[in-house]
Amino acid sequence: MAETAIITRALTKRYGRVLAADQVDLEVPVGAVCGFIGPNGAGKTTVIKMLVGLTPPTSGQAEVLGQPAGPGMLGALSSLGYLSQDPRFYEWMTGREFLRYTGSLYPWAERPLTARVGDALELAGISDAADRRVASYSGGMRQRLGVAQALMGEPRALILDEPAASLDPLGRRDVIAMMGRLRNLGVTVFYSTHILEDVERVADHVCMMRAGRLVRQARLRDLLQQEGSAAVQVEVHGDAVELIRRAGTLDFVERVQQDPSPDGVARLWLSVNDPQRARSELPRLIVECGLELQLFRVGAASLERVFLEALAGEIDRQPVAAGAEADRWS
Amino acid sequence: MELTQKRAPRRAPPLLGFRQALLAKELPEWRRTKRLWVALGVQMVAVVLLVLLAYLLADAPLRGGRRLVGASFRESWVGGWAALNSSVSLAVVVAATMGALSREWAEGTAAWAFTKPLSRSAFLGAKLVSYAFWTAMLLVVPGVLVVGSALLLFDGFRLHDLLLAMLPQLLHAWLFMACTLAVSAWFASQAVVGFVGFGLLLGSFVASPFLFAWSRAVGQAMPVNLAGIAASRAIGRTAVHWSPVAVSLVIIVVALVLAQVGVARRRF
Repeated sequence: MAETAIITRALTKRYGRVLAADQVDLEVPVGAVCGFIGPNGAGKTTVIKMLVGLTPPTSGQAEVLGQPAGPGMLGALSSLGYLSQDPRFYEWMTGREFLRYTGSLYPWAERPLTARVGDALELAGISDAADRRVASYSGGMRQRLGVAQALMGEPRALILDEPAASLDPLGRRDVIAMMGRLRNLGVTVFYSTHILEDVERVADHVCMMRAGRLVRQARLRDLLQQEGSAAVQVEVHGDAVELIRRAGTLDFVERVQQDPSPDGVARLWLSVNDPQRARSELPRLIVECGLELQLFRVGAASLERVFLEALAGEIDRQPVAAGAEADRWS
Repeated sequence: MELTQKRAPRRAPPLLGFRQALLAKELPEWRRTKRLWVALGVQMVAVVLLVLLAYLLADAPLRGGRRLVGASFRESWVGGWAALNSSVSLAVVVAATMGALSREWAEGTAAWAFTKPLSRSAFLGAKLVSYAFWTAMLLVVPGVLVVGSALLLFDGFRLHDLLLAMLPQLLHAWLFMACTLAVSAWFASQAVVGFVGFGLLLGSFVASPFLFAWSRAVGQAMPVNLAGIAASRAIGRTAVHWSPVAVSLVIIVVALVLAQVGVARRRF
């Protein structure tokens, strides 16, 4: 049995002149819950579509559970469940009929179809609406039905594209809990999301995409430890160029980044490996640079911070002009 | 929920999922949506009008409630039936088929299906069998009404002639079903598919006389003459021109190959 549930090698997808995925080398271990994050247009859905066979790669390869993935690669599809970003159903069917149809496409599943349908309905929390036509379902119920249909083949790997996007907080919590339960059963969950808080709650691996490239992948714990045991947030009045230059020369400062900020206020993020020294030396340096300190906060690195650093471009001890790139979020 | 080691096939057979798609989705979909009932309703209204008007307007004596019609009436009446089938019925078939694949492309349900262990050939095959079956029903159910009424209300028709007359009509309907299916495999817009499908239907009528004038042999071989074959058969003329049948079968095969290529090449 493969130790890596999902693996891609130089996976590339080009739509005309647009490079949607560029040499993506993913590795998701078996049994992991992997958060696949990135701003809109980063290429997450493109990578997922290639994994589930909806579109062929321009070049490169992908494997899911040891089987080649791509259009018509039914071996890989037999072992995985997939929920699209905007799940679509046959509106004339009832929820139960839709799940029965989905489940019937996996005749090799161990448990009887009726039992699988019942469990999936219960897990998704739509048992009460099971015999209603899908056409009458709300957005949240559709998302839940989408989760349920992804489980009908008793998959060893689940690929979910924004599974909680249209769910209310309760539904979101249920999806997170479900992913945790599936991990306990040994199912690999690979899911894209914008909700970093959810990733921190449930994921043990993280893959970050930006502009079609995989910019980082690691265990979440390692990522947070490596990417700065502490993050220092600083806001000062005045031109911070000198401060950035001098801070970059300090041995406990790993990187300095300046965010776009309102007129007259410079907002800096510093990754530091010695929070104590940061507390004592950075305020002094700010004063020496003739700047007025407005905010000084030292905290543990969050995924959001790590993510924004990875996306916005690293400065690595180099001064930078104001106006670091800000990726759009929705 | 217990999860167990799967026994999924590593190499999937080309028709993986065909039976499930046919029985759980394609066949019931016609019954469960308005498509069948609207199509059948239009057909039934047309044939009831055909029978009733002929019965009421026929200039022929009545005996025991039946019209004692002559050969020329029978010829006109079956001509009307054939014309009805090659216009209203074929239009109904095109209308019922134009969303077969294009709706699945546009609504994203095909994208869902292709992420399941359901081969694209099975997806198309299930659709083809279902559409062929229901198209046949759209012809047979009103056809049975026409045949029954003809035998009941008019004198001089023979059952087996009328039943055999339905075969070329069925082939004609399958021809347009296959062509519309092929177009819908390539276009996600039902409007485009409808335009092409109805265009082919209209075009076949418009082009036929010109082809006939240009070359009698070519004109006779056109599928549009299937209606004539049906009418001849219905009044007991057994000489059949096989060329429209052969041409229709060739076009159906080509259309299905095009449909298969369209489905196989579809990307999302």
